[in-house]
Amino acid sequence: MKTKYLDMMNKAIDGELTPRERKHLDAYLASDDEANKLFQDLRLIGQQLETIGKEDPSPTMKAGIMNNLPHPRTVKQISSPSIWDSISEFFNARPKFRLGYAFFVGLIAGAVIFSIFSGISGDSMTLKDIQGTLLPAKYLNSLPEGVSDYFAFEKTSGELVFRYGDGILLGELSIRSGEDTEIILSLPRNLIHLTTVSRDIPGSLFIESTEDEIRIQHTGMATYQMLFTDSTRFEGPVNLKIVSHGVTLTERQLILQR
Amino acid sequence: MSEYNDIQLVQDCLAGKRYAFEAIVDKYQKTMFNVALRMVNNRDDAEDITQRAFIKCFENLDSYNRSFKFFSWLYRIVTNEAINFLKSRKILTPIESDTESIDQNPEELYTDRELSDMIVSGIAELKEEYRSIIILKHLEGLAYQEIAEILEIPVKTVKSRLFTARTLLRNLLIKKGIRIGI
Repeated sequence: MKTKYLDMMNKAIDGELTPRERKHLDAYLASDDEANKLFQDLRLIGQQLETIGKEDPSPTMKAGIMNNLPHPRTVKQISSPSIWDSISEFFNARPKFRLGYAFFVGLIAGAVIFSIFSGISGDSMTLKDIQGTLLPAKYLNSLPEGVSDYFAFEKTSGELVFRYGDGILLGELSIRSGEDTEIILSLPRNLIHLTTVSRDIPGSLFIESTEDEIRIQHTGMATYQMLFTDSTRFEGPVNLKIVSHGVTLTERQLILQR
Repeated sequence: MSEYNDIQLVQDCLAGKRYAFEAIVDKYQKTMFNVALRMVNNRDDAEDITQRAFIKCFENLDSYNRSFKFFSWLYRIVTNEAINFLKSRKILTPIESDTESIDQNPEELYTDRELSDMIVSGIAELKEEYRSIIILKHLEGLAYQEIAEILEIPVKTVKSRLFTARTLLRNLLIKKGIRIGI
């Protein structure tokens, strides 16, 4: 059997044959019974293959994937140059300004000593610093317009809104906190996955995840953007505890509700 | 299937955003489950394979080469996982491409449904290279060019493999004594 006719058979089965090729193929098949039988069989198999539908996986398959993703205790450690590093770099690159640099260091040291003796603490975090914002629109585009199905935290202070869209709960919590602050979120990890994205963090950020807690520690003032996802439409409490210098600043239960 | 979105999602995953991987799972779980299902012909096994493949994908995201289609990369992970599964169960018995020893005396006439079921189980018996072509063409409804890109083979090879795959299925049915046409 000539290759060109095999190719034509293929195209005929897949509906890609031109009328001119169709004419050629028909003429050939009329002259060769064996080829005609092969073509008819292949066409029928092709038609049967088209009737095979896709099956849906069980609803638990996705949860099986998400719950078994590796979840190392240390999710992420981010360090970025501090303002101090930038200033040092500026003066180091300009030797003739080194006297100025020494003066600058002395000024800062003086300010620190003054703040210690005058009782000014670096820790200035209060509950009003906790606030939530909506996610960027690109993550919410799966939420149909007008749909009011969303999750919300009970307002503690500021705004904290969680939205649910297309099987993925996406929420964002921004916290502007003081130095050496530890934020402890107790939540059912099997149901909610927390991803943290840091923004404007001059110091370091350390995130540790245990069976039922996510602890976030940092040095320096920080604004966190915490993104939550939930594949199972969970309702329940999430405990938020903010500890600074070993002292609990606040401990609140945030209610996740629909 | 937008490749830009896939790459964006991969980038988000690599940045530690777990929800981005959830979006990938949402997007491809059904397709990859069906790929696995057609390879192993068992729902429970297919789900296990799909789950393992997605976890492997997550673990190896940093090795994904963005010059290739993400779908293609994920597809290969799934098929490799399915092949390993079949090997471990020693049930990888692909039919050979020769057409010898074919029973030419079909006696039974099957209904469309039965014929369809026979074809589905026949797909699982094909060699991987032929099975992939059938799955991508008939289950995914992809064009020759798209299949060529995913499998990284020339379009000409796609066509010839498709023809061989269908012919192998036909021969398999005949061998089982199934009358295909009237």
